[in-house]
Parts: sequence; C-alpha cells; structure tokens
Amino acid sequence: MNSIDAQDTIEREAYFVYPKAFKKWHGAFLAGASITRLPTEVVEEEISTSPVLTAEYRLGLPKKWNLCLKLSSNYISNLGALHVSRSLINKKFALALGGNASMWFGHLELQAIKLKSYGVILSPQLTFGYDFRKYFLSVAAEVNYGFMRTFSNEEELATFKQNQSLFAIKIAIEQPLWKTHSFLLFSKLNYAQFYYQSWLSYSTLSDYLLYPEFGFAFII
Amino acid sequence: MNIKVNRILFGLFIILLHSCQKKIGPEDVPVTSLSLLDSATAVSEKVKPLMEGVYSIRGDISNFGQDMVLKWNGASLSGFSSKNSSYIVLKSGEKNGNLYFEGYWRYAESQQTGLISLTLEKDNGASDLMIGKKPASIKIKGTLWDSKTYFNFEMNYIRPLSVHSKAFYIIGHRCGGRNSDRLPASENSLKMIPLSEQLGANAIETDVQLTKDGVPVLFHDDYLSTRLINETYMIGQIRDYTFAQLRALCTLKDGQKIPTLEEALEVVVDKTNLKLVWLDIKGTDVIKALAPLQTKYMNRALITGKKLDILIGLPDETNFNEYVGLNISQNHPAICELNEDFVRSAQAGFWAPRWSLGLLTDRVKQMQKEGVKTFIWTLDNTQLVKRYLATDEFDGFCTNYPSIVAYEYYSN
Repeated sequence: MNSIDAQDTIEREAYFVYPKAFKKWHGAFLAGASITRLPTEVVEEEISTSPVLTAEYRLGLPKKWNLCLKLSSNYISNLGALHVSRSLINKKFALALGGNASMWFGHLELQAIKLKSYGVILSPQLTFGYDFRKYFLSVAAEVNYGFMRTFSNEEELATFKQNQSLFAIKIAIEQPLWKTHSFLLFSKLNYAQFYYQSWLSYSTLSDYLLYPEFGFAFII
Repeated sequence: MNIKVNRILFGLFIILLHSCQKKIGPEDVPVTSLSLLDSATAVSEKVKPLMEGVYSIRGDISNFGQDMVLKWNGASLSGFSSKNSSYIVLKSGEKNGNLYFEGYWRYAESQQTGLISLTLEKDNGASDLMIGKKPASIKIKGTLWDSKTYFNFEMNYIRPLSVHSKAFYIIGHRCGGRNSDRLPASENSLKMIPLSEQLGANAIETDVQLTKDGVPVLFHDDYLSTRLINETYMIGQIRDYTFAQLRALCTLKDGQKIPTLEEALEVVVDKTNLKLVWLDIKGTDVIKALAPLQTKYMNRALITGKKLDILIGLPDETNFNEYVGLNISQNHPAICELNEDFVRSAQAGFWAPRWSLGLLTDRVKQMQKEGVKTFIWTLDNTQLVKRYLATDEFDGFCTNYPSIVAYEYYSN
C-alpha cells in the first residue's frame, strides 16, 4: 500500500487536540508523557526537569460541545482536570472556545520536608487548528487563575492566591497512524508566575518566567 | 511525519529550552545624584534610636503600602514596608538643623527600583531629635522617582518598633540573598555582607567550601557555573582549583572575586554589627580547616567589644561525624540541621530545622527548655513569614528576603 492509499484509509477523527467537534458520543483516549523545564530561579538545579505521565479522555457531546477529562502525575505533583469547550468553527480550519477546571495535589515526605499542598486552577482556553490532511496542526492559548493551600503535619501554613499566574501557548501536531489512532507531539510555552509542578519552591519572585514543556502521546 | 514539521517542532523545543536558561542575576541600583548630602555632617548617634519606628505613609504613592518600618544601621537608614515587599536604603546627613536622606527604593520581589530622597526638617522633629529629646511628632517629607515620573509623599511617626521578649535573629541567606533576588551584589560576596544589614538582617548564613590547596572560600553550588560566575570556561568544582587559580580566573556575577572565609569574617567584625554568622559546610574536611578561623574572629570581635557567634553548620551526618570526631564542641559552637538527637549528641547550641517540616511547636519548645536556640530556614514568602512569626517560638529565621522579615518582625 503506498502512502496515498494509507492516507485514504485514515478516519478523520484521528485527532485529540485539534478543536473540530467529535461526532456525538464518540470518544478518544490519549496516553503520553511530557517534560517541563522549571527555571532555576525558583527551583534547585537538581529538580529543574519535571517529567509527567498523562492520560486523557475526550468525548463528543451534542451541539458540538466537547468534554475532556485529564489525569497527570509524577507522584509528587498530581493533577485532575475537566475541560469543556464548544467547537465554533468546524471546517478545515477549526476553532473552539472553552475552559479547564483543574485540581492538583502535591505531597512530599522526606527527612527535612513534610509538605502537602493542593490547588485549584481555572483557565479559559481558545484553540484553533488546521487540517493539513497528513496531519493536524493546533494552537491553544490559555490563562490560569487559581489558589493553593499548603499544609505540614495537618497544620495549614498558608493560602496563596494566584491570579493570572500563567499564560500559555501550546502548539500541537497530530499525525494519524491508522484508523483513528494518532501520534501527538506538542510544545507548550508556559509564561508563569506560578506553575503547579514547581509548587515545592514557594518562590517569592513575582516575575513571569518561562517553563517550556515538550510532550508526546498516542491517541488510542 | 512531514520532515519540515518535525524540524520546526524540534527547533521550537530547543528555542524554548534555551529561553529558560536566561538568568536573573545581581542588578545595580540607581546611584543618587541629588546632592542633598553635599557638605552635610554625620547624623548624631542620639538621633537614631529616637527616630526608629513605624511610620504611616501618605501621599501620591500607594506602592509602599500604608506604613513603613524605619531602622538605622550605622550611617545608613533603611525602610521596610508591607506592600510589594518594598524597601529603601538611604545615606544620611545633617545640615542647617535639618536631616537629609537619599538613596534608592526597591521592590524585593521584582526589578522595579528608583531614587528616593527624604527630609526631616527642624520644625518637624529634627531639632528635638538632635538634642536627644523625643519630639511630639516626627514628619518626614519625601520624593520618590521611578523610571517615568516622581511622587511626593509624607511619613509620620506612629509607634516605636515592636519589642519582643527574646533576641531574634534575621539571618540573611548566602550573606543576604541569592543572585536571583536581584540585589546589587553577588550572593556570598564581601559587598553583600554589609548590605545584608541595610536589608534588615542582623546575622548571615554563608556557604564554605575548600579549594584544592585547602583554603576555605565562600561558594554555594557544587559546580562552577554561569549562575554564580562570569567565566564560561571555568568548569568543575571549587576543590578542583587552587585558591590562586580561582583568584586569577574567576569573578562573581557582579565582578567581585570569590572571597575567602577569612576575608568575609574580617568584614563581619570590622564593618558590621552582625551578631551571628552561620557557616554552612559544603563538602568534607572543611570543619577542621575553618575551626581556627572561628576562634580567631570570635575573639577579635570580643576585643572590639562585640558579641559575635560564629557557628559551624552541620547539614548532614558526614559533617556531624567529623565535628563529633574532632571533639571540639566545647569551644566551637555549632548549628545542626539534623534532628534533635543529633543536636544533643553534637552538643550544638543551635538547631536548624527546615521550614518545610512544619511549625514544630512542641519540639521547638523542648529544645528551648534544653537551652538550644532554633532557627528555621529558608523562609521567604510573606505569608509563611507571618505564620511562623505568629507562633513566637523560633529564635530566628534564615531568609533571602531580610526586608520582609524585618517589616513583619518590627511592625507587629
């Protein structure tokens, strides 16, 4: 089978980030990993690379609404998110407007650290993408609002508000492999005062710093 | 996948990773050129304790919050406020019956800075202060410049600095703050030591390593890197180089040389009123090398009429074992970061748990009953500083932001 024939067999829902609506009640599962570089202005050099495993499920809803559930973890930092969006343009060029409601939980118990933190992040998100036939290119922009609470030995130590703590642009390329299965590569540039994976740093800097993230996943 | 797209994505990834390498380092503060202090004489010592206190702020500025703690350090007057963790550092002078101050302001958490000048006129309290009398009111008028414009404001004395039942140590981490805290001097440098007092510290923590030829020097990281030094060709560890090589080849980010411990202790004794130095040991066999310097400079401070504690830090079991093995606890005080059992075994008079262990209420009380002072490290965030201060248990905080701790400690 030549490549054109192979392309012809690909079903057109072989995407996950691309914002075109799924058919009603159609779902897709994504499993992958990402790695984020945490700036050494806020974390020690030894922990400046943060890998995370991710699983997501996307479901097509009526009237071009989309629902996505996301779980990611590297044991120390764990995040669960619910993403709801509506696909506003559903052609080759697609556009969706939505938002994430996330809860994260961080914990670490070592000889000198006994901390637990949890936080809530709300993030409006705009995603647009283009279907190039051989692959889907998508760009998503988001801004984060949230807060975090920190405990040690069950005593609350502090609550931190994190308004507009992060602006991010994610560029994703999804290449269909076979049927509805695809491979996803993404780069995400987080420009943040606070990024949940660096919760242990309790940085006092109010600067926005860059937290570049790179990831891959299989859409099953 | 399309090869071009792959290349673009890979390129983007490299650019993103590289962009994160941009370092925040020491930053200059504006140098005053207001000439208020031309031909002014030194401010009388009588003035200083009477003038220190908490002042309300009124005027065109809101970025300093509602009040400010004013505190003297030698000839320098510093102010610490709650909002934006802002602080001011001022030179002082007395002229024609008025008191003049000029220097810089800075937000500790960001890069914003500018010039500031203050005047305390004779009719607003200066006359009484100069004869050692507490005036009925003190009103200081000021002007503050940012990059675009200037603002007039006024400070009025509200109350004296808070008096606490026990001595409290505000310990400047890495001699006063890290490179990423944008101070006008490199971390662990000679210039940073007197600056730490202006930032509100009354003690410092510093990191000691040995060079290849056994000279104790101040340096934090395990490896030489452009985070701390300017020379990209210098690789490896401090102990890979002799002191002469480091002196010849290495400069700290602000251009200073890597200081020896002896040079640093000289500055502490001769140029500051710091009460305590915490020597955080990096590596092995350091304790034996620095113990004689500890004795020499504690004695030198005593001769000059100062009480200075210099503590050998015991951050891990290796250094703990070395310290215990040398059997020097009688004359060489130590501060132990391990748990209470180690503190007792080492007969260290100081315990230094990390803040991330929690408030440790009962454990701190117990150590204090046993005569052990407890310093928590490294506490930077304003909310955490408030929370730990509210317990009124600890004997000191090690911090990268002495100005934040100073405001919270002296104003509450």
